Amino acid sequence: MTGVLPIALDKATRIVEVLLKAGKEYVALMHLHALVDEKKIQEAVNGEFLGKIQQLPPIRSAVKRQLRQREIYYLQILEVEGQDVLFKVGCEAGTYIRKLIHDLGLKLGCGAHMVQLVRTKAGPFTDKNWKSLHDLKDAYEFWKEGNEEEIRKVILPMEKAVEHLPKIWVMDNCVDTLCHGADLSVPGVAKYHEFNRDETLAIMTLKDELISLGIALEHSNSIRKKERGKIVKNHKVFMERKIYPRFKNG
Amino acid sequence: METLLPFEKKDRKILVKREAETDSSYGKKPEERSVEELIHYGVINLNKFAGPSSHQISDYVQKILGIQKAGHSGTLAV
Repeated sequence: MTGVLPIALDKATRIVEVLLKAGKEYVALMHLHALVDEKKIQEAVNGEFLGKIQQLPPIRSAVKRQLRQREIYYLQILEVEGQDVLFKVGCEAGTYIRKLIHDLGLKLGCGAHMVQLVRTKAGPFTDKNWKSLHDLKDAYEFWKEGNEEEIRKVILPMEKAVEHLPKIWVMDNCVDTLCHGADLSVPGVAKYHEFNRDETLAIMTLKDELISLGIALEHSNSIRKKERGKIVKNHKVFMERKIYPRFKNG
Repeated sequence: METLLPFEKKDRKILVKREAETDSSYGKKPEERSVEELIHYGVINLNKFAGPSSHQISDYVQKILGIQKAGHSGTLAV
């Protein structure tokens, strides 16, 4: 596999959890084992391979081999040249593209296999502004020489990794208690996006700093209706303690 | 055909529970972090080339930046 591989650094390392679960996009090259009319390929792609699909994980995979449902958000053929088909696919986390291609081949009656795969999106990270290891190395050297312009383009604040999540912004006076692992109650909430119960949220300061990831205990409507009670269970803390002052009854 | 992931189609609105100010003496906006801070609280949108494993790439990044930990978003289920 090549392509978009977000790397989270040091104290931000555990943020990869939300990227693992995020939607992905790939550009894949499929080789059909016989010539197939382009119309027929289009039909298959726009038919049962779009939306909810059932997949049996490949033999060599890290997960249990049982049928599992995954969602294909979009499937777009970019180019057909003889038996080679280049396409773009947006899918739910954990979709096996090699398997998708294999199944497409079966549907078309000729068989098919994957020749190449490039990941073009992993949640909020895309191939539009990706950087190479070489870019990183150069940027680091420039920075050591006193020029930080490049490294700021390569290393992004960890907040970038939660761009796709609903957010909840909290009052200054409860930031530190959250850093200590406490859950968030309604009186601490300043602003919020709409969210569902059990959804993963990014808990933010009013300066848009990521404090922690949380799991919604109720639908966001409860914030409007209630003046007390827990609303988000704290899950993983990223902000260091003592950056914000500790208030009693925060 | 529109090629957007579900979250990219969402237009999230911000709802206000209470009007609040933030004290500028504590914390800072992410874009105001120093490069040193970014190295410890940052992410890289890396373009992985064929060859090394995702794990090896993580190791390279750690070495370049002189940090103890770095994580990638999973060895790919392809």
